[in-house]
Amino acid sequence: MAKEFLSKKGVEFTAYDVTKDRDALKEMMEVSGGARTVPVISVCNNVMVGFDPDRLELDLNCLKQSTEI
Amino acid sequence: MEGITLYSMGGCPFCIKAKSFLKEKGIGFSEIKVKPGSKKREEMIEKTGSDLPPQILIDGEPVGGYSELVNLFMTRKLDEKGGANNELASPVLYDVLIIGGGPAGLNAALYSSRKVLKTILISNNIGGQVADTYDIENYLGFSQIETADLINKFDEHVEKYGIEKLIGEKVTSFDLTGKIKKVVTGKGNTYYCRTVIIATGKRPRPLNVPGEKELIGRGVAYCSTCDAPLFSGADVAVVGGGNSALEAVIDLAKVANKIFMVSLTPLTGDPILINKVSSLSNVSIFTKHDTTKVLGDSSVKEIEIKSLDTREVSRLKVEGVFIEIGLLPNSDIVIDTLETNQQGEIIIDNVCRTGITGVFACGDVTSIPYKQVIIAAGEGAKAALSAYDYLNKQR
Ligand SMILES: Cc1cc2nc3c(=O)[nH]c(=O)nc-3n(C[C@H](O)[C@H](O)[C@H](O)COP(=O)(O)OP(=O)(O)OC[C@H]3O[C@@H](n4cnc5c(N)ncnc54)[C@H](O)[C@@H]3O)c2cc1C
Repeated sequence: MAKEFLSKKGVEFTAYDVTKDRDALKEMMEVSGGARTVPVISVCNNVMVGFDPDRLELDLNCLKQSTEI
Repeated sequence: MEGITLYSMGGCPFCIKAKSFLKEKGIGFSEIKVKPGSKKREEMIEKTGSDLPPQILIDGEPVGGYSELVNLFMTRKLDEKGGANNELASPVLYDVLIIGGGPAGLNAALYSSRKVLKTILISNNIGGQVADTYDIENYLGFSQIETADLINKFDEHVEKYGIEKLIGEKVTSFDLTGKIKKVVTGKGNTYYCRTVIIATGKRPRPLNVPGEKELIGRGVAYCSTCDAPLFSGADVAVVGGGNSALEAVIDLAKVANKIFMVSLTPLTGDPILINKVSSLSNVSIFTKHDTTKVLGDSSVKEIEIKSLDTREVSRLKVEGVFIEIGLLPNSDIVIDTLETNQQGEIIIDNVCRTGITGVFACGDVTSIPYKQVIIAAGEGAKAALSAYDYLNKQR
């Protein structure tokens, strides 16, 4: 669902499969302060555990601002 | 007398409802309060032929009580009667409003739309508990099917009839009394309908021990099918001794390093599953042990368990704990309005009726035995047909 949402918004992203990639799992747990659930989405430096479309929409604003500058 | 006149009495719930309904819709009215034995009460009986407040008159003509008022509003007849502001658009009135998008709710939607009833389905998600398991092997016609495929098939079938669906919204409160029912979601949207079908299913039961809530998603998990792959190579615990706990152990045994199974009782699941778990080399079983704490700061590090025989307390070093101790019905929102059994399941009769007319329930949230996809789906069909019969008798 999160992937579809991002694709629809035309946002480029990298998806890590943490069930296969132990290093990615470690990194995910570090940036999220211990989360062991999916998805974890990091935009700029905002980390969201779970998928909340309203919040992600807000978080995505940082991308717009940085390209406008 | 011009406009709306409302006879009311103190302490009468439907009088309060009628007044707040009119206020909410911005419709002006004049109120006449009646007391037992008063002249005004005589006047009300004389004008309306009824001694039960509230009694409502529009331009001097009696129209009935609260239900009739709402009905007039919904069928837009209030405008014709001159009572309502003509610019005020009446909201949609659904024949059937279904709460829950699991097998029961989806099949209710299918049957209801095939009866050409105006239907809306509101749910947190599509698929319900079916999404918590990987495949289903006992749904007639599919000897084995991945749950994602089965849910897609359900959804596509319902979609064919183009029913209105509101996914990602939770129903938080409603008013089920009266002929027109009101349903409110967490986002504050309000829906009106003639019948409600409650198909809210079940959710995993929590342990209710210190540390559990704080560490959900940080090692505490309730769905082994969903989350087992995140624990590859890790030591984990499974709490519970029934079928779902045994299945969780089997799922985890394929990926995790070591599994501790902690059960309050001797194992109670199917012998086939118990045998399979007993044969796994990386599983240690602690029966007659209580799980008393989940420990860890940012993620799970240990759990504390206590022997029921020796009272000895010990700790197990684990990165994850799967809690598989049964399910609770999602009946919280109706627990004080509908009759429920000791488990909190809504009590229904053999055509899915609850204690309130026009309110039906089906699937895992109800008292019917054997919680299975095919049974929930069948019950959903029954609830829709029962709602259809009820609506026919109303018209
Ligand atoms: C791990 C597991 C494995 C299983 N394996 C099998 C199997 O192999 N075969 C089989 O036949 N059965 C199996 N079952 C049982 C089967 O999943 C259930 O019997 C079936 O899903 C019940 O359907 P339902 O529609 O009544 O409820 P649910 O599937 O629980 O659906 C309820 C829906 O209501 C929604 N909801 C709840 N409250 C609200 C609210 N307030 N507002 C809006 N929406 C709400 C939920 O989000 C959900 O979408 C399994 C169950 C589990 C947990």
